[in-house]
Amino acid sequence: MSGHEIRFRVAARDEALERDIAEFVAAHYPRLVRLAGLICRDAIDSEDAVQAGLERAWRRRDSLADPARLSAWLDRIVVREAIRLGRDRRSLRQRLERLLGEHDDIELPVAHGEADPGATVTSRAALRHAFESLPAAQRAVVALHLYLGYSIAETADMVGAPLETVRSRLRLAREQMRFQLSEVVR
Amino acid sequence: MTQAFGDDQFERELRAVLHDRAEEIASRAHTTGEMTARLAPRLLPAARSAGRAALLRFVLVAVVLLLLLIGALVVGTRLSRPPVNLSLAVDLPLDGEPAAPPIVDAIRLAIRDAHLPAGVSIDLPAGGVFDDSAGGSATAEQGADSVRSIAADPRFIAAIGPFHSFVAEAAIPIANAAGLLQCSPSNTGPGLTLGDAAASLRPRPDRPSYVRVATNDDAAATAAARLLVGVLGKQRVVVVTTVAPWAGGRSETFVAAFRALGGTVVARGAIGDGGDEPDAIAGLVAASGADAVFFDGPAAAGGGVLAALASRGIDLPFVGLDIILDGPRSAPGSFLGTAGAGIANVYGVFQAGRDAKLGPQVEAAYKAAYGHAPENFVLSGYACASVVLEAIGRVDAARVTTPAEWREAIRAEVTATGRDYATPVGTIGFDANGDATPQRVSIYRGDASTGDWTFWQLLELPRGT
Repeated sequence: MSGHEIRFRVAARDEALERDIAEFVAAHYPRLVRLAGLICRDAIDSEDAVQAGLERAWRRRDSLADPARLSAWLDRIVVREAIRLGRDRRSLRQRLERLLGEHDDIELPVAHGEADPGATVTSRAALRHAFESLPAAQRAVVALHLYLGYSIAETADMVGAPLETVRSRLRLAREQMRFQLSEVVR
Repeated sequence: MTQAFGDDQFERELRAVLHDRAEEIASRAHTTGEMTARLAPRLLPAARSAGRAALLRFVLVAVVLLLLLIGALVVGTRLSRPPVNLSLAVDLPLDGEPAAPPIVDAIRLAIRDAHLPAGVSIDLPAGGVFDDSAGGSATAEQGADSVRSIAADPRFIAAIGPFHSFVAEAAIPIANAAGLLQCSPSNTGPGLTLGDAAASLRPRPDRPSYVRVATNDDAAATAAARLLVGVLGKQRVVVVTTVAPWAGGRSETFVAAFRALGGTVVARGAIGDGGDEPDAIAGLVAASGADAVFFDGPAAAGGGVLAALASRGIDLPFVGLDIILDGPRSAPGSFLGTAGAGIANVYGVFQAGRDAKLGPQVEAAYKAAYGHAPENFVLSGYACASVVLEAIGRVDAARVTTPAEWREAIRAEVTATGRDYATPVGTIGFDANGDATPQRVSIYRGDASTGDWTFWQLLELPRGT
């Protein structure tokens, strides 16, 4: 085999790989970025979670026994990454609060255009604010169960928590959101 | 769909909120094309290396499988082999020779401490301990009978013994004809391994079967000469022996070696039956101008000479062979018991070495196991057992099956020249005659404070001495 032929074959193989990657991203990115968007606090974290998840999934794609489960597998990887990012953000905030005392002005960078519950007190805006106030783990089970339609058992598998924990998180999320809504209405 | 919130309106509103937020995030995030452009450079190398990684994984898995297969075959082969139970035999004068029973104990200790190959075990059964004494003392006939019985029993792969050289003269031909390995802890007679006398004991010279860990008498006498000249710096010696040659005439070997080293025998005295009294010997020494005494005769007679020298105020180095190492001052009739207080300048040459590490270890283990200090030939008995046990480990177990094959394999291994065995009497091998090589002696010195012998130093003779 000549050097030219080797280069040609390598180039052809690279082109095929690039096509595979493009198809892979196109097939899953739109769904995943929306899913991550419900768990993370902003678009930047969402993209980071999806990017990390896609990279990990791509490298380990040969380990997936059932290709039909690819979407669910990707969802699980991205959800866990998003929860991890959410926890990291939360612990960073807590560390800063411990260092500086509890000040309202301690803010971590957030995406612009987040809903301001105090501005338009519509019920939907208040509900959105209440949802965004939930911890990442609770937002994840709400998003998986209500937005993507996974059963509670599937949700439990996705987040890597026992069934009862998922039920408990859903109940707490509902109570907290309702509480916040009642506060706003009052 | 589960109504997680128990309120249709609330749930519908929440879904709408989730949808709105998801779309809002998606609208702010990179497009699919942008994300592809961002990810491709990171995923492409991974994809390229995936092929190589897959190949490497395949090779790795293949190698691991191959190793597992080999391991399984080896283990399977070992496991499939039935366990090998070997037995050792002992031929010693258990009645009438106090030094013999402790040798049996030492052999049992060595077996207890042995590290044998997996699947191989060895024991010293009660039926394997043969007594070559009759009527309270060892006899050549009894020794010959013992070896005959051992050779006829296929379970015995080797025999440790005999204790006395005159018994060995009767036993070696029988063992040699049968191809049975004998390892003696205490035989010192030169004729068992050297010269025509030794050759006459071996009907199958092509198949050597006798080794000993004790240094032969010629070497011991030579070592005594080297001790006097090389270590103590003495040149003029009085030689005191029995009238008849003692123990094969080893005093003559001493005289020859002493002269060869530049020393002078200034006088010779005879003691015991037909000889002079100790005081007469002391007078001879005093008149001779000697600077040392070499003694080879009965222990108590030697002690008497030393006491007589002390009574005349003569304090010269007094060197004897193993016969004077017969216990502490408290032992009735012993050399030290007869000698009196002046024993600090007395040296006994014992016909075996003493390994600096294994010697004390075995002595401590023996004391712990049996509750008393080891006797003279304990280390030598342990050494014989160590040699046989080590040889078992060196035999290719895959090539031997029957007890007869084990016996022959161990005989061939032990009598082969150029081997080394780590023993409490030092690391030794055996020459073609069956003598330990190198030849070493331990020098013990009288300790006036304890009234006993104390190990003083090791002497190793140059090869070919």
